[in-house]
Amino acid sequence: MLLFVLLAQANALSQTSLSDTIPSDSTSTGIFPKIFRWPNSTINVNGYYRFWATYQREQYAYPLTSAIGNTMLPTNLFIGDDAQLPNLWLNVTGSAPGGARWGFDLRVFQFLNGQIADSYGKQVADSLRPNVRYPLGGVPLGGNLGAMLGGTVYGDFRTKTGRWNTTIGGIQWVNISDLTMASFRGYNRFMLFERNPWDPMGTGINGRYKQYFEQGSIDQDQRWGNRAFQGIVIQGSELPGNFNVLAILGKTELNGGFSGIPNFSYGGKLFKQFSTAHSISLNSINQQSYADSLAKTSYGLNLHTIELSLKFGKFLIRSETGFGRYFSPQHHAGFEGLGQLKLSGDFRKIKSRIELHAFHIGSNIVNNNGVYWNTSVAEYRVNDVPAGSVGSSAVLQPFGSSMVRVGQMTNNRQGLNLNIETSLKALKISGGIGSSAEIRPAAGIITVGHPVNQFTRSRFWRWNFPAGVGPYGRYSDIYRDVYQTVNLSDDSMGVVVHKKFFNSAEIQLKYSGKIGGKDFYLFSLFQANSASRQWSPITVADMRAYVRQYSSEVELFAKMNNTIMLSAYVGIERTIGNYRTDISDETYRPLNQYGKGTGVGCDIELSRTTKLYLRHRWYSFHDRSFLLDRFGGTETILELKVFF
Amino acid sequence: MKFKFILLAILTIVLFVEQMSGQNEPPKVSFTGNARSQFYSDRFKNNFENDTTTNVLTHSGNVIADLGAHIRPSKNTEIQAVIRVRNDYGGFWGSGVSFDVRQLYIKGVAADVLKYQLGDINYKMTPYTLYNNDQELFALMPEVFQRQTAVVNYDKFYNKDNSWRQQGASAECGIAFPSMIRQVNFKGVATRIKTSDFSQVNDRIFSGGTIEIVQSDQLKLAANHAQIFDVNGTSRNNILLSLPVSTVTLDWKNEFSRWQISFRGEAGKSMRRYIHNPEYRNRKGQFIDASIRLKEKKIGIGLTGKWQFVSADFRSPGAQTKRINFNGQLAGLTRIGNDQHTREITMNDITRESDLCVTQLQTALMPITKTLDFISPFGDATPNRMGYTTGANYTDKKGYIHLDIFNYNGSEIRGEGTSQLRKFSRLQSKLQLNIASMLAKKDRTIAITLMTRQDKASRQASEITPAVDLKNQTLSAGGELEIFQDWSITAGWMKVGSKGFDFMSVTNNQETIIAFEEERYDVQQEMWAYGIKYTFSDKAFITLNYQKFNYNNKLANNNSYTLSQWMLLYQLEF
Repeated sequence: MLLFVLLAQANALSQTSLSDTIPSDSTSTGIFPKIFRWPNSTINVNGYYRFWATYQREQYAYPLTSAIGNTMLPTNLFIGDDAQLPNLWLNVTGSAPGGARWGFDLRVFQFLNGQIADSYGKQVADSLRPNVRYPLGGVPLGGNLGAMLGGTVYGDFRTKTGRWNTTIGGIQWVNISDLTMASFRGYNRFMLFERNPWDPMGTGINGRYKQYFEQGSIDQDQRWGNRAFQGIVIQGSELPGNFNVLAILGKTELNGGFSGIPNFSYGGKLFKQFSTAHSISLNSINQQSYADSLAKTSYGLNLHTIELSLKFGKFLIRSETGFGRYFSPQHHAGFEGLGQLKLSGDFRKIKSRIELHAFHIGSNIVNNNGVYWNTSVAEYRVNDVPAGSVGSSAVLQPFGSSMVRVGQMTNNRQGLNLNIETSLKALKISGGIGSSAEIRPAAGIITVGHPVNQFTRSRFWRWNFPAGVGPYGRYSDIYRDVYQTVNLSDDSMGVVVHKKFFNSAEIQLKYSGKIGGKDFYLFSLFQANSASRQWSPITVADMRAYVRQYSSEVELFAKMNNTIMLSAYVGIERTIGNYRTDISDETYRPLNQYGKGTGVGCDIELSRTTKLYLRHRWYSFHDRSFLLDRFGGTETILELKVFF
Repeated sequence: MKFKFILLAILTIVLFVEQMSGQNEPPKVSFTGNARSQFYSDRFKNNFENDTTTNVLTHSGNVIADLGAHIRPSKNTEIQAVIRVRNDYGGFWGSGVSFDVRQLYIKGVAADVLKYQLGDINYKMTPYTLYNNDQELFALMPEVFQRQTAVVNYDKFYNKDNSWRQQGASAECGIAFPSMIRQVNFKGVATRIKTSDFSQVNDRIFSGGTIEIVQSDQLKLAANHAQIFDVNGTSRNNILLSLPVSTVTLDWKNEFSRWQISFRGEAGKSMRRYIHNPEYRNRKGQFIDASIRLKEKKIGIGLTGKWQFVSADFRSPGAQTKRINFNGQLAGLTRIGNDQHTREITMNDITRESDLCVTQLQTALMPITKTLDFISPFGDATPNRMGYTTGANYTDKKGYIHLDIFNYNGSEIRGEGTSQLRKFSRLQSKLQLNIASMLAKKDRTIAITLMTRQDKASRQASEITPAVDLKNQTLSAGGELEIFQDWSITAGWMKVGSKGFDFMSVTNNQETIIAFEEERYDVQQEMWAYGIKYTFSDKAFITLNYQKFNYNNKLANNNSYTLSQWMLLYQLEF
């Protein structure tokens, strides 16, 4: 009898551990909670696995810096991606009733470096571990485990005045407008041979290439056209009067860091749609930072614009104009104007779409959150943390008058771009020509990129973003790119007196057809850019130009069957300086650079959600004037990507 | 008799089968957790002379997700693991992210007899053995301030049931009887509160047990034992702490006509000693606590009476450990002014500073701050107190009004440095008005709460000591108004004034008083806040609060300031 009673009692104890309420009897003792409710919420997990490795063989002992002996090694095997995207990325999300949601991500790196241990991360003594309240202190656990974007909570709610949703935390991807907060999207003229780390896979083995050919664009990651942001974002839609609103308060990448001294951005957009054709919006972005604990030394920016979009039949007028200022202890130039106007239309008779783009960005406008770069104002720096590191007040982009792509803007510049998209049967043509000029003479330097071998070159300096590197200290490594600084010598006793004029031209040809019943896609991109001290309607092709650059890239993608796609690439590039630029001590001549790249590759579909990408490139570069600036070799890249 | 036994057994089996068949089978693996985002913008204003150093503005915040997995490998076993992902404001590309294990336990029923839990456990005994007393002023805080404190309480495992988070093992079982008494429950717990450093620090264990006799719904008796002790041989130090506390409790309740009456009594003793340390004077303490409650069901009136005696040497770490360490270091604005003097801990810090929070039992009495509580800083188990409490409460049938008043009068049992004893009094009241009900707006929340507390300590002067005369007055008011569905405005105000003179005891490491410091007080602390809150559901809300705190210490230079704060808090459970 007693046994049965014991059984009943014990099971009663276990059954009472099945709901989550505070016991009503405050004199209860023992284990708490007394009753427990089984949760029924769902968790969703998605993400990707990405294995990425490069095997490089370099022919020359290319000097990475001016330090003796610091050169490229003849062979380099690198497992992992120093573009900082992980091997495994998990996005974990869930929801609670009422419209509240949450999410965070986990990233895992694996470098296959042969260090076998209980776990990948460092084993850290308790006394050295960071206080969870101060994560930067001490030695963090789990160096291979972390988060890419962090944690975010979301809320959706309906009110009588409209729909609202909030996103708090980050990183989130935010776009206000081109001139306030957005990243440059360009005219979709780029090469597909080397994939971006965040690129989706597309449908089928040829999905991405087919989409690029047919639509002129490809599916992009959520970051495309947006800026990273951490903080509070509030969006309202279906508001009275057909208004939508966006408000942000927090940090952009440029405000990052854990100092408690306020360093934040705020802004937003008030948008009204008049009809399906017309809209207007007021946009604003502001940054407020302090350099001292008393909050007396401030620096930052304020920028406000009005954006209009008017559609008349096949014609579209989009404009954004406004004013802004940058202020710092060393800079008080006040407000200046900026704006851009885009007129575009579809011309059916010639089967073309034409866009005229005019812009003016004042010389004292500084806003690194927008689509334009700051190339003329020395920004205030609070610390010496290198650019690209958290808490740095330095910016990871070229400074100094930059030779840029068609459509890319910088401050202290005004210009005109003309873009055309047309097609001739199976040939699609997209081209653009641009002419721009500085508003006032700025620094006596020009920065130049190198489209051929761009990614290979950026991998010479892994993980960090050093400036002033290379054999002559004239390269700066930025995220997935390297730019070269060219000094001009036509100043007057150190004062820059000549405004610079820039011309850019690019044409992209896309062709698709069948060979032996198999689809193929041929993409090519030709660019011609120059910087000179006199205006020209087209690219200056002689020694009047400080710097001129020509590049041609052609790539072919051929579908073998439903699981294999072959690819090939060829690219050449010339960069030439005149005698008003750096002169070599060895040859007494200015820049005279040649860059070449050829490659072959294949995409293999292992399953609907798994693809293998193999690329092999032969690359070379040399400067006939600056003899040490020479590299060449081969690079093999293997990428295995799985989405789930 | 035999027939009755058989009948009871059959009934038991039937009940057992009913329970099992009526219970839905929970899933094998399920997920739960909490996500929270909080951001602060603080502004510090002061009238210090020529202050060129103190941080004026600070921003901080984070997003936290606690993700828990409940795993049920078998019908009688459950495992729970919770990991915390924290993303600090300002960290991009994962630089401000930290991971940690927050909780792990296994619990179940062994051999269909013994309920156990191993790992992280929340355990409570009686207010004199193991009890996690609320922090100072918590009960008097309006809801708008409690929201911040609730965040800290959650992080530090300060649960509403006043249990202590421990790491160890616990077990419970019971025996039911057919007559005379209903059941006897056995409960035990053993947790480790300190680990050996293999040198001079011994492993220190807390263990406790309860034998509870439930005679009926009306009568319950229990014997409790809680002990902290060092485990011999776990280090080279053979001086071992031993601190047992034993108590007996009696709970009785009944109903007579319109009255409900309940009685609770607890009595016990403690001993604090160091084995192999002849220099330490062993401390033996005792206590008695008896309370009676009367509730009239028709009108809604309640009366309470309580008498307590807690001797000066009564020590019970499980009950006397405070949540706030008043000797701790503040994380925010630790030092202020050009001379960088340390900022005193205030009632604003209590609502928000998690670095001050204590998460493990302390074997010595912790420091207190008399500006907040000098009568019961260690809860019911405050030593060297004798006194009585009388109180009355009223709740009308329609739920419009709730009024609660109590008065405490007591004194020390042993004088400190003098034969004169301090006398204490406390008068506390609380009035809650449910205005929505009064206005017949049952779909809205409109409520106001008013609370007051007046504490007084006094002691006559002697030949060598001046008189003690210290008064604390606390006033608070709070309200909530639901303006639209799910949208509400909350506001609160709280003021604590402390004025007078008293002595603060200075003790050595054996808790022997060796000196007294004269302390004069003339401190005013005032904070008010208002906020707007949107409630997604009973599991999620978002609130934006503005709060201002004034601190004015009239007796110290450069010690008065204002701290204003914006807080955004988004919390959801899933």
